[in-house]
Amino acid sequence: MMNKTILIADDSNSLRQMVAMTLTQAGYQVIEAVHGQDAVEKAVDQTIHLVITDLNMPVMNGIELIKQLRSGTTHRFTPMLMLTTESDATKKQEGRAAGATGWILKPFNPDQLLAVIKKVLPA
Amino acid sequence: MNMFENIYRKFWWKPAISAGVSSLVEIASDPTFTERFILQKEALLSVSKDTEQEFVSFGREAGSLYSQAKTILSKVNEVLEGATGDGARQAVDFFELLIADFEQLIAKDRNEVTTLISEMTGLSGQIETLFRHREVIDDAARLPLALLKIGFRVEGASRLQAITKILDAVGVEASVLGKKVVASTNAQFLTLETAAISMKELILSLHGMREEADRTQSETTIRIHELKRHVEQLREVRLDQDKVGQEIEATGKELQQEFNRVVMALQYHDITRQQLEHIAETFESTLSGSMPSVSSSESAALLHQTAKIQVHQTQAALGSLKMAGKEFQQGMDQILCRANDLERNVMNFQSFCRNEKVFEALQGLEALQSMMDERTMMKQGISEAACLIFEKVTDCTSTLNELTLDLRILAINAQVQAANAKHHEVVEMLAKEMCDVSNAIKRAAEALTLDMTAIMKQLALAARAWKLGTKQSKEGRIIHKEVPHCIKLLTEIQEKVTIGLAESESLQADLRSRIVFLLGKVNFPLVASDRLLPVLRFFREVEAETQPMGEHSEVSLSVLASMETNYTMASERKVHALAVTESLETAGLPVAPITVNLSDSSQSEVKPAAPSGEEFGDNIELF
Repeated sequence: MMNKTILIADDSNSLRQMVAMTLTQAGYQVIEAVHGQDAVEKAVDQTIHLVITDLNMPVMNGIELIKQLRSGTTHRFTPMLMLTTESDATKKQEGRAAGATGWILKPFNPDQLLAVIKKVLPA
Repeated sequence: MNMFENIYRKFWWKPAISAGVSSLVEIASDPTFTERFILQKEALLSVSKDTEQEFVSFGREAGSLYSQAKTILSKVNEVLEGATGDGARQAVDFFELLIADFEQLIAKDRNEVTTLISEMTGLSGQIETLFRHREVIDDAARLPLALLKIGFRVEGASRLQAITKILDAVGVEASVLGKKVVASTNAQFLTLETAAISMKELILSLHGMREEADRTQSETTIRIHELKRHVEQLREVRLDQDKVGQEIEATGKELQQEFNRVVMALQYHDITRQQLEHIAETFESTLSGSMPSVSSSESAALLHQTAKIQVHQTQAALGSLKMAGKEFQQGMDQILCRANDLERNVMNFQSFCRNEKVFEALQGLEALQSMMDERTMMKQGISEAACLIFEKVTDCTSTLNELTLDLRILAINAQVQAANAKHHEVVEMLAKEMCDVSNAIKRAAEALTLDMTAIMKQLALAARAWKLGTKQSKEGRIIHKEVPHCIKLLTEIQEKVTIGLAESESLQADLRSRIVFLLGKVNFPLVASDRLLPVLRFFREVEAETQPMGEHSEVSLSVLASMETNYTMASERKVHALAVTESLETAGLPVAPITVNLSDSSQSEVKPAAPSGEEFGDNIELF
């Protein structure tokens, strides 16, 4: 579990900090991105073990981010979770088609989030 | 013979001369003088042999007694090394009795020596008398010379001259013997005095040892009580540590749960903020598209109505946000207060562990160990001192044995010389005196033997008592051995407590920083309120500009529809927020999520969460 790096992409500063706080407390290393494009740029030269992204973000939304990362070879098999308030089935289907590993509705319970991360992260 | 009778009659007033002359006359006239002299000599030799044997026997007995005494005292010395407990007390009591016996014995010896000295003094007096007799005999010896001159028989004169020479030699030897006996008796008396002084020193040392043993025993008892008290304190510290550890763990869990709830509540804030932003964006886009066509009266009326509603809703939202902010602030204050309490408890526990019980117990145990070591060193010193005293007593014993041997030799010498003097009266007197002295010494030795036998029995009893004492003090020694282990255990506990406290402090600092961070987020409702204020002002302006109102237009209807959609979404969020708030309140958390009242539909039903068959709940779905 230790030394795993997780990339968080969310335009909300407070939510980003809350997720980062939860993950840091659990022993993960966290990289923060303010939108999808920022996340793509930061994922290029970093080893990322998991991506958590919001759906609606400026510049580049979460589904586009997942598509971008999946198109390359580096993060083709990296688990990616959507963390959003959107519960529409159509959106979920879009995310799934883009390559999302899971869909988490806000608000999230920190313990549940950690349990999901533990499950999707490779040992 | 007539001439002798004449002389005798002439000097009869001189009793000594008359006695000597009568003796000389008897010897001179006795033809069996030589035979009797030989018989007397043999008898004297026999008496001398008996006396020698008695002296040898006495010396052996005395040596044996002192050897036994030395062995007993050595055993006592060995036992004294572990002298604690009731057995030690009994043995020390016995030692006191032994000391009293020794004192009596010494007093008895002193009396006997005094008697011996008086006897020797009497002997000296007799020797003095003998000297006086010698003068008489000298006179008597000179008498035959005078007799020779007047025609005394040569044979009788030569025999008388020979007797005079013998008596002269006897006198000289007796004088030397008397001086030697007096000197040796004085030396023996001095030696016995020295032995008595040594025994007194030994008695004082034994008294000191007894007091030291008593003090060591009482201190050991006190230390054992202190050790037990320290162990009790250690147990209390352990219990307190476990208790505080459990409290810290429970508080940590509670804080973690509260942290999770705060995170969720903040998410509601964030969601609500986003929703409000969406509403504002929708209004902005709608109004930016509809404002140019707001020329007709019906559009103006619609906008006015919309603005009026929006003003009302925004004011309500503003009030709700402020109230939520206050509630959130109160909740966070309570969390902070609890964190401060926890920190204070940790500080108290730290002070409690570092400054009171653990350190006291450690210091007490270390002091106990040092005092025990000190007592052990003192006991070793006492044992060494006792060994020195016993060696001194042994030296005195050997000196006494040597003196006894000298006395025996002197007695034999005196008897032999007296026998050679062929004077049976003097010989008999000396032999009798020597026999008396020998008998007295023999009786003293027998009495000493009996006393020492009794002392041996008492010492055997004391040895058993010492054994019991050693057994009883074993527990104390075991506890004494456990002291370093207890100190090590306490040190380890202290180190663990220090590490635990450091970790706890780190955890507290971390939680505190997170709480401070969350407190910074509390301002969000106020920030949201500030962001709503321009919206409110905008709608008030719209309300003012669009008065009087006209008929509804399509634009107005679309705006209204958009608003209704947004209100519906907000209401759904509100219902969700209310459900979460209710669950949080049920859990006792003083933090309430924002209850944004964007519409009047406060009677909306709270839909319970549908039961989920998923592993992580209904809000998480893994593809």
